[in-house]
Amino acid sequence: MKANLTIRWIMICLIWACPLILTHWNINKIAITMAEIEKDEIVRLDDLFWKNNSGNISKVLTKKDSLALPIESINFSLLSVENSLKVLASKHKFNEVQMESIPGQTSDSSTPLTLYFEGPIEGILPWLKNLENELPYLMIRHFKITTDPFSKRAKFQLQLYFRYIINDSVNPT
Amino acid sequence: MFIERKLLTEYPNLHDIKHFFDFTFSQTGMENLKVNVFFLQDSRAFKLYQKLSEINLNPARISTPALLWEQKLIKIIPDFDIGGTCLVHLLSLECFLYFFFQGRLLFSRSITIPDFQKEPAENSSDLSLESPNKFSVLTYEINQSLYLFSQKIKSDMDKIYLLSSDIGNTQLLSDNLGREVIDLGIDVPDIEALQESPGISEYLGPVGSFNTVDLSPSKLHLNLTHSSLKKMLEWKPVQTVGLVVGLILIFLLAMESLFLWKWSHVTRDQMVKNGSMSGINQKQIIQQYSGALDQILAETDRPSPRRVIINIGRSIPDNTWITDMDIETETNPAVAINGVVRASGADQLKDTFSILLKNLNRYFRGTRSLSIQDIDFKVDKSKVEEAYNNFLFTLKFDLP
Repeated sequence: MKANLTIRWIMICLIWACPLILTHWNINKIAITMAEIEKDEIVRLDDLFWKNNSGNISKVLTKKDSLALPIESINFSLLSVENSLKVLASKHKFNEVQMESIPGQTSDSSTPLTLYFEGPIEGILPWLKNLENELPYLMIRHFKITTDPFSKRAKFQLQLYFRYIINDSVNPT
Repeated sequence: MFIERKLLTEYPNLHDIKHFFDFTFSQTGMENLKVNVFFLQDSRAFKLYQKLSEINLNPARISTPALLWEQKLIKIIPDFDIGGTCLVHLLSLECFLYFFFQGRLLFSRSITIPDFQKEPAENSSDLSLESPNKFSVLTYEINQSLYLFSQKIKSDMDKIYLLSSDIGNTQLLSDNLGREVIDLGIDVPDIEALQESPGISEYLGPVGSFNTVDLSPSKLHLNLTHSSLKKMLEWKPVQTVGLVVGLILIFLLAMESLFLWKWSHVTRDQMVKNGSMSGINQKQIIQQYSGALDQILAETDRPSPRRVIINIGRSIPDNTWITDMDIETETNPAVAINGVVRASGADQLKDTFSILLKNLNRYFRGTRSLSIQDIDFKVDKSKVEEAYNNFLFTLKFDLP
């Protein structure tokens, strides 16, 4: 008799366990479906954004790509950068151009450079503008000017970061 | 627990007695609260119960004719709860004596009547004619019981009732006892009719006078139930309600689950239809765009050396020129300026610095406002002119 009573209680417990399991399952299902709906809404908004801003997106991505130079070898690239800087300096009548690199501080994506040159003080602003436009992968971190007021010439010392992406598929030509 | 312990102490051989007892409370006066305990005390009863249990025939309520009579006589006899009452239930071959005091059963007896019909007698078909012999036995037994009754409660019996199929037996018993005997006045099965089928008479016995009304509802008369069965019966409504509510909940929640399952499928189908699931490439591009935008914003947030040079150039008064300029754009963006001011005296020097600071505060908004205390200066004694002095100054400030 006592066993019957216990069996009945076990049956009731099992029956009540089903609603608990079903409730858990239902809550879980609601959460999953709501997450999918939310994801769908995000995708829809992304789609809308894409349709309205695809031109701007490509410009931004291009600009972002220009902030790092795809290279194969750091040493070859440094020669190329030095050459470019010299060309840029000669355009603005700067001379005594020297570039030094600090190999110990090279990382996977950038290497510090120090650039020295001298020339007319009024040429520095156009030079900086050209540097930003033509060599955007060179980021100035420190800039020192020492002027001579009588000759209107100055000595310039720049510390730069050369930012790059090592890419094996870059054509050496 | 007290009653259980007391019963086990008084009846050490009846271990199952703890499962077959119950009690009621009765109060005759203001203070005479009594506990009436009733229980099985016949070992055959326990054995019978055990045998019935083995074949799944558990008696739910166990009672006795005496307890049933107690409940029935309350309705039949006026003032049943006052004084002593005796009921004589006369059957063909046995007689049952029930003794009540103040409406409560005191004790009961069963008397086997000798079969006088087997003796040769004239007019043997009339039971009442043989009654003198039968009633002699009855009178003796009743008198013995009345004596026991008076010994127990120190009081005489007030009323004696007879229940018999033959109304003439009332007078005969009254004559034999020498006191008034009252006919109970309820219908009982005809003894003669029962004699024709003695099996039924044997079968019904003392319960032949009860009908379904007397037996139901069970809570009106005293009865016993095995403690486990009683517990089971007590919990049955709770368990039934729990079972029904649980099943209803399962049904409702299953319906909800079905609805949610269909809803999730409809949502998924809609997403597939809208092409949301295939926009992974587009999403990656937008994520790249987001990252690129962050990088470009970080780039534009950094101070531009060109912009710094332009703003400093705008801020420099006419009588001032810069000898050194140090621009830091990396960790703590700042600029340090060394310059020369050509001034005739302190007033002009002060005015020059005021203009310089005013212009710097104008063009470099967002930094701490610069004041004259931020400028450190001294006279350049190496270059002395008649009307003017050259003042070397140093100024350092953070960039926004």
